[in-house]
Amino acid sequence: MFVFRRTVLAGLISLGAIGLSAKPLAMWSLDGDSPAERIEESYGTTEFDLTISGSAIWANRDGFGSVLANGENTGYLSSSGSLDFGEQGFSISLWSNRTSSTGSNASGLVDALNGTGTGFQLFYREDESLRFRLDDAAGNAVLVDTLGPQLSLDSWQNIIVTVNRELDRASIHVNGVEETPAGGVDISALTGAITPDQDFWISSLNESNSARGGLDDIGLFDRVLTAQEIASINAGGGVPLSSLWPDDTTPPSEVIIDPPGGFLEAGQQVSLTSGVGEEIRFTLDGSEPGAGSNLYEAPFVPGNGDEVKARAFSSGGVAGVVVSAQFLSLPDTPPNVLVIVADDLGFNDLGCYGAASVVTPNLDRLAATGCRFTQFTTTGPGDLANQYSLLTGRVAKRSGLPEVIAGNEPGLDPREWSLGEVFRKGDYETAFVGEWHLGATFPSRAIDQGFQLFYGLPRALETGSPLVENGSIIESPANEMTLLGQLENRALEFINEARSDPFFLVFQAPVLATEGTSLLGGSGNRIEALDQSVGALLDAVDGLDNTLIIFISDEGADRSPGLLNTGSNGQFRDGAGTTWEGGVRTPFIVKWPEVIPDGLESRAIIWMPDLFHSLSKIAKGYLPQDRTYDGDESVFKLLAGERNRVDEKQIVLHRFIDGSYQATAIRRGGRKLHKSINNIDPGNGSPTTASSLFDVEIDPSERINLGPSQRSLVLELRRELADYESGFSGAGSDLPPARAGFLADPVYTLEDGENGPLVTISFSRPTDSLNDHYQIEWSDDLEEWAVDPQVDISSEVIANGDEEMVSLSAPLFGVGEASPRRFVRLKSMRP
Amino acid sequence: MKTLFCYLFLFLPVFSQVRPALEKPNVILIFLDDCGYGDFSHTGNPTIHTPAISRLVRKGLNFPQFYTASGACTASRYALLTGRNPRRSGFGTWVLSPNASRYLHPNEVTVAEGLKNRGYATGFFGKWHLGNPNGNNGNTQNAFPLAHGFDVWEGTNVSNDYDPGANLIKSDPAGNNPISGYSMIAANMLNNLPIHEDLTRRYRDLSVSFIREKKDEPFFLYVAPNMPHLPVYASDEFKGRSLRGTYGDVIEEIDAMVGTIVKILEEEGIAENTLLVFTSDNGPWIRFQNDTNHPKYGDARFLIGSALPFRDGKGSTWEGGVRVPGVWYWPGTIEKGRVVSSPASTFDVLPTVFALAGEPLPTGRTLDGRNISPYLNSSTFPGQVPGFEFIYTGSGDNKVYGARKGPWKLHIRLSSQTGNNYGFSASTSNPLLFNVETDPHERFDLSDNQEAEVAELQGLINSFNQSVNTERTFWGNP
Repeated sequence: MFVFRRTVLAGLISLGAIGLSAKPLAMWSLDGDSPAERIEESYGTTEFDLTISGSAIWANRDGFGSVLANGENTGYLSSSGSLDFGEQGFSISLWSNRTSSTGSNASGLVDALNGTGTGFQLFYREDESLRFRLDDAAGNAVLVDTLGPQLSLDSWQNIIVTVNRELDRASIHVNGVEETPAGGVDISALTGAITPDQDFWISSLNESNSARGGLDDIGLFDRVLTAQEIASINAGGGVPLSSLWPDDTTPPSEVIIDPPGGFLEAGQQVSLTSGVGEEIRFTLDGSEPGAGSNLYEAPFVPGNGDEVKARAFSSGGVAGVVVSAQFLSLPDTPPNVLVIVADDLGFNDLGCYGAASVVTPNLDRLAATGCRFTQFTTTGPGDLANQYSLLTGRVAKRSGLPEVIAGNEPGLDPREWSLGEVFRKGDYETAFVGEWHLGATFPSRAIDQGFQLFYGLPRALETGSPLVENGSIIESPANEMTLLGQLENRALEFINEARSDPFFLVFQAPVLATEGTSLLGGSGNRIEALDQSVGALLDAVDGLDNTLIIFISDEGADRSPGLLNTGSNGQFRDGAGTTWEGGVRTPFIVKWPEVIPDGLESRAIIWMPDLFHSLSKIAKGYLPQDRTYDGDESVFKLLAGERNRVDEKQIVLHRFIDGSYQATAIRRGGRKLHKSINNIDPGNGSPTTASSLFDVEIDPSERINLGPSQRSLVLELRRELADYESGFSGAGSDLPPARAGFLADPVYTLEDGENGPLVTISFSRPTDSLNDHYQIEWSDDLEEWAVDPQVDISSEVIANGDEEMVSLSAPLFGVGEASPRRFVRLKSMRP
Repeated sequence: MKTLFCYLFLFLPVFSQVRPALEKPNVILIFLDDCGYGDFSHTGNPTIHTPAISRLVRKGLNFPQFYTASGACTASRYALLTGRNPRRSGFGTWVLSPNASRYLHPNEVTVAEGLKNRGYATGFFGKWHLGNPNGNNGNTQNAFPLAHGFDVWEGTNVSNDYDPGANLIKSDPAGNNPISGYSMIAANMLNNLPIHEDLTRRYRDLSVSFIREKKDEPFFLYVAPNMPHLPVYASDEFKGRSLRGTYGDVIEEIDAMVGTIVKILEEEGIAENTLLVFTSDNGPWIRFQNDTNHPKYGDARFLIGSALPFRDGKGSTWEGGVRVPGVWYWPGTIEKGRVVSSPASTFDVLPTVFALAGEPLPTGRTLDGRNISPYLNSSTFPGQVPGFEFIYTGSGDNKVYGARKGPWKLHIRLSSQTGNNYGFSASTSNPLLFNVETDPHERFDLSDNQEAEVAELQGLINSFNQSVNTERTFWGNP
């Protein structure tokens, strides 16, 4: 059975040149070289799928193309669209060539009536007159008969039926001549809709005994054909419908969806635009928009998670390309955000990702109540590199940082704008609990980067890091066996303290030697212990209204030679330290109750730097526009859907080689080109270290090098990598010059407040500043300055691009009693 | 009076469905052909999307360590239906060809026979592969499913790639092709594209009709899709649906079939009366993983599943040959999201469902499975599940290749259809020992350091061999 789909536009388009009005609802020319083509070449615009049933035979006809040469064969065509003329008038035009007489039975031409129900049939009666039977939904039937026999053997006849419900008249024209009584047959007995109760069949009213002959050039019109139109169809012995209503094959323009997806503020509308004279049809449920989908009339507000799919239709009914956008409505109140980052946890290391020897009920529960992504990718090996990407939205190549910061050497450039700052700027309580890789000294510490609380290791565990809280050492070095519990407890404490404010908490536990009862031992114990901690954190936020939870790993499982009890990257080749998929593909789970539906699975391609943009959007914090970001908002554009992915998403994977981060692989859509390969797992089965191209969607194990057969793609991706490298102008080069905490000297004013004198300090500062980095100090003698924590400071901030005006006001206490005067000053500690 | 009539009318259908959940539960076995452990969302596939099976996992019981009995079709199907090690089959082979004289011996008791004894309606849609009536066995009725407890069957006699010999057949009281009681739907179907593309949909529709028809009585439904055995085909509806190419489309079509079956159970109000087991016959057919132009399968490289993280695939006694998905679903009885990390196998199916249905175990033979109902719900089904012991049989005549007990696995022979032994060798005197829990990929041979485990597993193999040699098979010597 062959089914071809076309798309209809039942529009009202004037074809002034030939004086014809709207195109047929459906036109079937049946032209072509094969049965399939004959259906596809139904040049008309129809929403009806045409199907060949049985063994239709075909012939040719000069000037018209091919013909359904039905007859003793029982073949017929049927159209499965829902044909419904309602109570409106309609017309049918077709060409018939009979090669045998009817015999003792009626012979059908078209049939849209299931015998007992509602619809219509057109057929030759035994006496070879034509009959059009009409049954309405109210149970009334009328018969429209020609006045005499109409059969003319071996010649083509045009038969046109018109049904005029306004005038209650139906007529049959043969070769342009009205053969029913002049003015038509009275059909006023019909009171209901003509809604066929079966598919529209072409030539099969009496399958077992149908007359021999051919049928061609069939048109259905959802209106009454005019006398002029009937004459045009019959002009000069017959004209194919296609030349009267030429098919406009010019494709319509691409619909522009504005905004192009992502977050919507409450009540924010989405508009769709396309070319003049085009219609836009759209869906919200992920289905392909067709001619019957919603007609776009005015901007609208999509529901949370809706995917808008839209396409334009030209005036000729040609369907344009489908464009789509995913929308997510932000809750009115900002959510708490908990980001849990695992260390070297492989794609296959959680129960919900297929682990065979590791049991992780808490993370499984997270996945079951959120969305589990399967194509999340890191930026390449390295804890530092991925922490940098997570917190800045940029690949580590832009940072100028080394692979590991082992001591007190410089770390994160303070001109970088981190997620901590983003959330702090959005009035969040912020904390980083765990292993910090971006620098142990001012101004690169977590507490310099927007995190109010830092609890954990200021540098990597293997560097012998102490455990500290903010500036204070708790123990040195940190104790690997107790560390996870300490981190968990401090995180829980923070969550409990922050209850009334939205919080942003990053929980990043390092790889820790752990005892346990995992079947896998070793890394299984570590993962199961982390799962327990995750469970405690989940329990703690369960009682809170609105918490977004993200779980990721910063690298795949380590598959170094000889390593026992190691984690698994499942189907992916190799592991940590490589840019094989085993090294860069990790679990990624997002849960956001009431926003993300339960149990979703998404195969969208996303990567580490994308989190920055998505989270910034949620924090409603400031985002500098002066630098290059490597991610986008796609994470949350894609949240609603298993069905979604960004086909041509491009990501560049890096390894730290010879003192710098170098691009070693590029992925675009499903294809991934390795520029340079390193193998760590001796069992990884890779035969090569040479450049190779893989389709990592069809071939997740990267087994089959497509390079030899896809040279042009290899060259294109190579060029892309070369452009990437050459377009890179050096670490930090895109960051703005360092800016002072005051763009102009502060202005101090004293006025009378309700409760006494009030000092107001007005100043302008860079927008990427935090109130945390300014403090008001008091002095009686201009020598000793102190901060009075009792003082209630109120602030007002007016942002203007990358500068903002700030007014800080504080009551002036203590003047006139012990001391006749007080001095006040504002200090900037902007990193 | 009128009110009363309405009342009865409305409530009548409910009365017919109130069989308690635990009384003769319906049993549905879904048994795939040649898929890999890693081919599903819940087993960590990145690009094949199987939401229906994931839902069974979330709402049911997952065995991350589930075994099929053998690395090959006939042997594993024998074990599923009889609960016995393929070595006991007497087939003399692990894959019965269409011309084989032997078949599932009439003395064997299948899951279908036992449940039929308890009044179950029994339906089977899919691949049989436990015998074929032919000139070498006098075209015996005993070679086909209706002789083994099934009321109805529609499916293929053997694998879909036999050329000639793969026939699509249905039971038909009036039929006589190839033998009385059956009729032929499509003979030699290997190259019959419309039939091939339609197979999964066919089994889905047959299953749905069977469930609807039998919903008021206990039933046993065995669904054994031919897919994803090479050559793989999806129906039009699923072509291009997955990111994993045709192979992924095929798995996603099977997933949709599972989803439909579960939906019908829910619609008919019998989900809580039904135990559904989803598993597969053996690992993926990696033998052809590098074939770019196979005469029957074409470019097979992308048309094969993945057993990773396990080694090797179909035909092998490396874990990749026998580790398969194992999902058990029975809402109301199995609690949601249960994970049993202890191993279990298809051997355990028959003893478990017989216990649930109240059917005594067949006598006069050794069964190799356990009643694992306590794993389903330890308070509803109290008791201790005996420890897991597993004898690996393999290539050719179902000879013993190894054994597993606890986490320990001994190889005394190796076999891979890829011809690759991965740098290892094994014999009875120089076996390999792996801890397949700490080392699922079987990378580190510990036989030198773990003599006690080696000895214990060798003892297990010896007593198994002794048992088979003493008991023999229904066909004679093993």
